[in-house]
Amino acid sequence: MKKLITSLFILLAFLGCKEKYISPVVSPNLGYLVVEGTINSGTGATEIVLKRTVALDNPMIVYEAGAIVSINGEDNSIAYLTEGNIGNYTSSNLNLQNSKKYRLNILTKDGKIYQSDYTNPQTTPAIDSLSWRQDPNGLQIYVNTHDATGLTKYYQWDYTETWEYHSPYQQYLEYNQFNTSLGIKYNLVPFDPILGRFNTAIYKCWPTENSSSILLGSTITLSDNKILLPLNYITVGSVKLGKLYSIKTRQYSLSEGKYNYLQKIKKNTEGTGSVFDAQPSELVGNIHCTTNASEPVIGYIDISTIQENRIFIDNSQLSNWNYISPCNQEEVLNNTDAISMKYGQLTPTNIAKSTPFGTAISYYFAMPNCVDCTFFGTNIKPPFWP
Amino acid sequence: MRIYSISLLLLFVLFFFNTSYSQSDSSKLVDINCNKCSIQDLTKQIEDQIRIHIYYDSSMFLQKTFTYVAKSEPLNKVLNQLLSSELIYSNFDNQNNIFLTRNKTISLLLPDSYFMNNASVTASSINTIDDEDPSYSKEALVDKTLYEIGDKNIKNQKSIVVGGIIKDAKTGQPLAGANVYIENPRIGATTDQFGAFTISLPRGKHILNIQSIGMRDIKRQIVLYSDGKMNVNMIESIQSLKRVTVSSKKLSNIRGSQMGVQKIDIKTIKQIPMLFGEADIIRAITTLPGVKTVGEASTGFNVRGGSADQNLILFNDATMYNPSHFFGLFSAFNPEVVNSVELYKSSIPAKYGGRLSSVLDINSKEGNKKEITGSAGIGPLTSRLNIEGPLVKDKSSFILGGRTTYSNWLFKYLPEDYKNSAANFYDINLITTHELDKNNSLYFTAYISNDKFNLNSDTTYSYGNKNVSLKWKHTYNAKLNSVISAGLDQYNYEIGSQKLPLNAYKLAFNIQQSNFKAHFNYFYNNKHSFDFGINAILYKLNPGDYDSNGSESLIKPDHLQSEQGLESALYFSDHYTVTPKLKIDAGIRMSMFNVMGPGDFNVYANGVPRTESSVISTSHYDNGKIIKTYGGPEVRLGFRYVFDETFSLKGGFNTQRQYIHSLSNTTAMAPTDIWKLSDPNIKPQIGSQFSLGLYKNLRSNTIETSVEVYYKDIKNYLDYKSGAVLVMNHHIETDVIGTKGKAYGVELLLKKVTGKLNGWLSYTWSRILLQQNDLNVGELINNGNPYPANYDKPNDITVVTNYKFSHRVSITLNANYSTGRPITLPVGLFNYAGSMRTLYAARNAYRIPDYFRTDFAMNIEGNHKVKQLFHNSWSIGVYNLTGRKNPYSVYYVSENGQVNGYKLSIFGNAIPYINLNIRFK
Repeated sequence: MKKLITSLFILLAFLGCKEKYISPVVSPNLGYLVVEGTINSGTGATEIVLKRTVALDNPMIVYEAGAIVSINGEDNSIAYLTEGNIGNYTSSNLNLQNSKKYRLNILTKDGKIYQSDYTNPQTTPAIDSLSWRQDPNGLQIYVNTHDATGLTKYYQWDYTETWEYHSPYQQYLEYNQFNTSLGIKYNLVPFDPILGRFNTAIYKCWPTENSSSILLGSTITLSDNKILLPLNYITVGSVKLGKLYSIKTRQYSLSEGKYNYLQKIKKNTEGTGSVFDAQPSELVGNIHCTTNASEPVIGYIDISTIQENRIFIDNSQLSNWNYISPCNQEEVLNNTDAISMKYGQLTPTNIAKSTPFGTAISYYFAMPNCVDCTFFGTNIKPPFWP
Repeated sequence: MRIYSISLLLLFVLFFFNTSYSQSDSSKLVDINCNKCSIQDLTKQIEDQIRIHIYYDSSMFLQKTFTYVAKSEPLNKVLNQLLSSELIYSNFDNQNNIFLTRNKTISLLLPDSYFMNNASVTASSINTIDDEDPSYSKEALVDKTLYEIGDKNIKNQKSIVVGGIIKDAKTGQPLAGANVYIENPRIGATTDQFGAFTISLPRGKHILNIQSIGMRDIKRQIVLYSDGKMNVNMIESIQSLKRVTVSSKKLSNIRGSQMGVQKIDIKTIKQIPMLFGEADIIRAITTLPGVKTVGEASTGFNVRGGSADQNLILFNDATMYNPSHFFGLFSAFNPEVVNSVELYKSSIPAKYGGRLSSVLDINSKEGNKKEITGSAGIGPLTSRLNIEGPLVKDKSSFILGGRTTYSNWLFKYLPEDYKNSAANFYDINLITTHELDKNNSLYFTAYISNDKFNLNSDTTYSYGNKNVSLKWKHTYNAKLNSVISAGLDQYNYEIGSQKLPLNAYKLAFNIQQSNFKAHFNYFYNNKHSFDFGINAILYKLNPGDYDSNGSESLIKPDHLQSEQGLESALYFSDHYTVTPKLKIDAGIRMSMFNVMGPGDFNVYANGVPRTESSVISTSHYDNGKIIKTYGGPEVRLGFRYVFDETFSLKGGFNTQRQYIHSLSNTTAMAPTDIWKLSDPNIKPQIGSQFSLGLYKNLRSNTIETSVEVYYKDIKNYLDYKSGAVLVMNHHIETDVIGTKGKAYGVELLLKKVTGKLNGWLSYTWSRILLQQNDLNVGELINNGNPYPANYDKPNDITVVTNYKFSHRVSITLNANYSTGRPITLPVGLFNYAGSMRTLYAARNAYRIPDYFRTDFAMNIEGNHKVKQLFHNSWSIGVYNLTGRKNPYSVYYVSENGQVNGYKLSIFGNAIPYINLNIRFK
């Protein structure tokens, strides 16, 4: 029996693997209409965005401009939306009545008519709170909500994140162009020769990011209409929480149909890749092309009020966040040719070494996006920012 | 492939034997010129002329001289003349030997007339001959005793039925699939799983040949007077160091009337290189023509265009609902307790029913009835231990086997997605056999398995099979016997998560079936043998219990109503030997399914797709009430026509009905697939199949070739609607759709069963297409055009080759190529909810890249000393030798706003393994 105890293991090389896959399929540009948005039956604007589907190898957002978009009720009321940004059709308060049914109408440039099914407006309960919890790997933000009336069973959320961002390096110097017999050359001069300050316009910015996954929740299987759902996870060390961070969440109450529709999109596009995943399926929404019944239309239009909530999280509230900038500086000798070589590639930041008399021996340079925060977001402080 | 062998010599002898029996060989002409020559001179003269050996005890012939002159006289005449008057007897045996004795005979085969006059064998009337004391000498194989069967006084019985049981002399285990036959006229029978055979022979003297895999062939001289019994013990073929192996099945592919039956014995299965060296029955099955699998992590298999749930998997008659461990990497059957595996893929015998595609009949070994022995195996992921032995010596035995895994280390090497995973499984088998008396045997089988895993998530999955069955085999007489069995089969799974306290849940599913089977076999005569019986299965399903899991959880308990149904069948079939060349199997199976209450069933409006809004009313039924009855006849027809000994044609027509369905919208058979009984809204699946095959053996039956074609039609094949929800769905009939399916294909098999190099090559070309073109049923799939099923892989080639360097060392190399399976690929992109997303259209319109894999294994046996306490063997191998990254799936996912396509391979590298197997006693 001794040999029984003999056990031999051969360590295996990496077993499975995941590789990039490029589809051999030459996909046609189908150009089906994509309708996104919710008709806001409460206070606030309604925004409908029209886009087109694109070929698989052409991942671009193609907006549908020049359409006539309206919302009409069973009571023959009608309201038109106006195109603001290209493909964005908006209307201010629509003043819809909860007892009436409404639908969306679209007449596209190519003369096709699209209509959604008539639906009743729904009331979205307010968001109770947004909360967060830090764990060793990051920070989890939750949404808490409940519906005392019990009418809302299905929810969708989306959110917008904004954070304060400071460039890792401050720009005290700028290029100065001059002509020589050998052509145009550059040297460096102080950015603010009078006060000696750095370029504050590109130092502090407020990048913004929208949610990119479909966030759904349902109380249908729960005994209580209460939801505590993880909304967003920020991995530790992320720049978002380097200073001050804010998240605004919008909550929509959904019809069962839209919930199922979004669930299907989510499964098709986000929940794939494991061994036991369901296979992708076709989408059938509640918008139809009345001029060509067989033409697929992407989208599902619901009518509801929209609830919003915003919280702020300051870096000082966290422990060991350890945001480390990936930037570094390059030291370049104070030499016209050397500096001229950097022009158009790197941004000068400050004097690196100088003689006892104050003459620069060398300068620091950095990648432009390490100096200029507008690469990431606006430098105009948002109105809601404290 | 353990060697079942007889020596080439024996094979040759078979020929000689025949002819000597008809006296042509012993009548070879010789010249003799003897004048008082000694026995040495005489025999030398004969031996110089004919290839023959003459043996004698020279002390007996010391003074004896012979005088005889002959010119071209038959040998037997010479010998008779020379010897008989002197009270010297000559004895021919079947190995070109003549034994000379004085004053007494030794019982060898003798010329017919001579024998009948001078035989000194007992002539008392005996009904049963039991050969309970086999000797291990070579002579025992060609037994010189003449066995008399029946009552000598019964003179008018022309056709005599002999029944009996063939057993392994060493272990007392019955030998299934052994061939029992006489050569002239050619009449044969095969033993069933209990080792029992029945054969009807003409009155008189015969030489009965008995062959079984891994056993030394036996020849018995018998004289038949009336019906009787004959039990034979066979000796394992071991350590004959020069031999030619001949399969006992060497003619069965030609002569058997069933087509599309594939049998693999466990020794072959153990030789095929397997993942981590764990012999895997299901994977071995997938090397056969017409059997496919969707990918590596799926133990479900597809037979001739059937889905995975259309296979009836029986382990000692117990239905296994989930034949896999470890989310499909291993099969649920412990190779140490399995004896043989039979797959019926076209001519399904009438005694089986309830599934459309195939029956996989797995039979366990019976325990050793003589002594306690065991085996153990150690592999990189699993270990197994097996003990068997007698409970009452020679009467009853047990076999207890268990397997477990220590696989968690493996996950460190799996893709990132699976790193924090864990998986454990075990299975335990207990099989006992009791021979109550000569005519009654009892068999008890118990099986339990459990799997638990989580795939890098907070969700844990667990599932398990539990089976018990009791079988009683009764022999009424040589012609009639019965097998009556009753059993309980259970399968359950549970999924649970506690990640979000408010949503912590557990979901449980279970299916239970109690079954009763009574099977009778009546051997009417050599032309007709009848099988008949009844089956009944009572199903009870709990399709879903969704409950809270933890005190904080707000999960509202939700229970799908339980389902009950009774499936019953009555069958009769006749194996009719029309002429020795033409054989017909004709059977009919009347099957019936009663949907039973309690339950609430929706009534849907006619002629419109079933949705929640087309529900007209809901009917309630009380417990035990029969709500709906489905049923009808199932036809099982098959014929075989033998052109000659090496060439035959077979055909068949089969219909099947299936009343229990697995619903899935995943590619692989997932552990969470649910089973659903037919109900008022879900019709049974009905399938019919035509098949035709040609079988030709070459090079003295050492090479078998076959071509089979089939066409299959499937009605009410359940496919899912786009975006179907299959779990916890109270009205699942609105999410599935009955489609029409058709499958067709050609299967080629080339098999070399003997020699140093052996193995097989199988090629299949096949299609399975589904169609849903009825708007009244629901949404059209792919605009109503036929579309391939998930497992439609038109081309499939498998090569399994084994080369034996010596008796201890053999290597096996196998290779498999198949067309990539169909997938649904995106046809475009759109931007929605902050991300680019994929747009899907036609289902299964594209294919993943083709599949190719080769595996290598080397099996090293320890020494072959019979008496040794331990026998070790090693198997060393490499799975996926070329390290090809065979895609299991291709998928697109939206990540951070972008769409990325990925190709996922389960095994992206060559996987070496080493496995130690120990047998002990």
